[in-house]
Amino acid sequence: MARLDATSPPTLTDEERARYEWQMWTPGFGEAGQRRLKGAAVLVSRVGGVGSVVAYELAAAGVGRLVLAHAGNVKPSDLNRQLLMTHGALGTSRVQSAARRLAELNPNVVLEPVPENVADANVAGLVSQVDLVASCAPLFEERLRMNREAVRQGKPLVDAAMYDMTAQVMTVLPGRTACLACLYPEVPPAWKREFPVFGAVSGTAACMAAVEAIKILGGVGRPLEGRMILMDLASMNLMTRRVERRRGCHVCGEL
Amino acid sequence: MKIHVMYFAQLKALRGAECDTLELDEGATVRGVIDRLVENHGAKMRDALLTGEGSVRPSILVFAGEGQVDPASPKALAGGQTLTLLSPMGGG
Repeated sequence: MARLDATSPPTLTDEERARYEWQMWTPGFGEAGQRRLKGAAVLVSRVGGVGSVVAYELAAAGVGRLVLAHAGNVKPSDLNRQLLMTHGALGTSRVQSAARRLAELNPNVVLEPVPENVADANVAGLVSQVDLVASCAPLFEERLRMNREAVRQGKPLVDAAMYDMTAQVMTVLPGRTACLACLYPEVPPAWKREFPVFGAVSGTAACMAAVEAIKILGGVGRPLEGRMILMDLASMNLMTRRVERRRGCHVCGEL
Repeated sequence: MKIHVMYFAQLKALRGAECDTLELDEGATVRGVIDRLVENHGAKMRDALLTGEGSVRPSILVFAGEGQVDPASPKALAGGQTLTLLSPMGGG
C-alpha cells in the first residue's frame, strides 16, 4: 500500500477545504486525513446497486481518483438501485453515466471509466492502479477474482453484498484477516445473477462499505478487521460476526 | 435444550422466517441443528444446506454466538446459544 504510506499526500485547495469542512471536523481525521483521501485511488467494480452508491460516497468524500469498471448500457431494470444511472441515460454506457453524475457532484475527483467488467485479462492492471478495491459485483466469479488479485498485491478490499432485505459487508486486509476465498473457497453453485433487492437495501450496504474505505484510506476509526456486518433490514436487526481465516486457503494461506 | 437459529439471504427466504427456536438433546452439535432443519423443512432446505454427498456446503457460513464455527465441529452447543446461518449473497 505504498500510496497510503506516502509521507506527503497532496495539499488541499481553499475550495476543497470549504467542501470538506464538515467531515474534517471528525476527530482523528482532520486535514491530514482529507489529504490522504485526496492522494488515494479506489477501484469500484461494478457501479450497480452497491457500486453506484460506494462511488458516490467516495466522490463526495474527496477520494482523489476513482476507477469505475462496468460493462454494458443502462437498462430500465437498473434504475431502482443503480443511483448513478438516469432515465435519460437508458441505452447508453453505464460507466459514462456514472462518471457524468460523479463529475457533477465533485469535479475535483479524477474519474477513469472502464467500460469492461473485471476479468482475468484486466484484473491485475486495474488493481495495480489503486490503493483499495471496492468489490461490488453481483457474481462470485468476479468478486473472487478481485479478492485474489487484491491479496496478491497486498491491497485492502471491501466487499458488500445483499439478497432480498439482508446484506453483508466485510473488509479484507491481506495476511491479517479472512479473505473472500477463506469464506467461499469455490463459486457457490446456487447463486443467481438476478435476485430480489430494493435500492435502499443495496445502498445501505454500500454506505457501510464506503465508510470502511474512508476509514482505511483516511486513517480514521477501526475497520472491520476479522468481522463481518450482517443486516436484516426487514427487522432492522444489525450485528457483527467474527470471520476466520481458513487454513490452507488457496488465496491467502501462504501469507 | 433450546437453540435459536437466525437465517440470512436465501435461507431466510426458503424458511420463510427470520429465526426459529429448536428443541434439541443435550450435546447437540452444529451438524445436529442442520440435520434438524433439513428434517423439518424438506428438499429445498436440504439442497441449500448440503451437497449431494451430504456434507454441509462450503459456502454456508455458520456462526455460534458471534464467532464463526466449522459446521463439522464435534463440539457440543450450549443451551440457549444462537446459531446464525448465512447462505451466499452477491452485489450488483
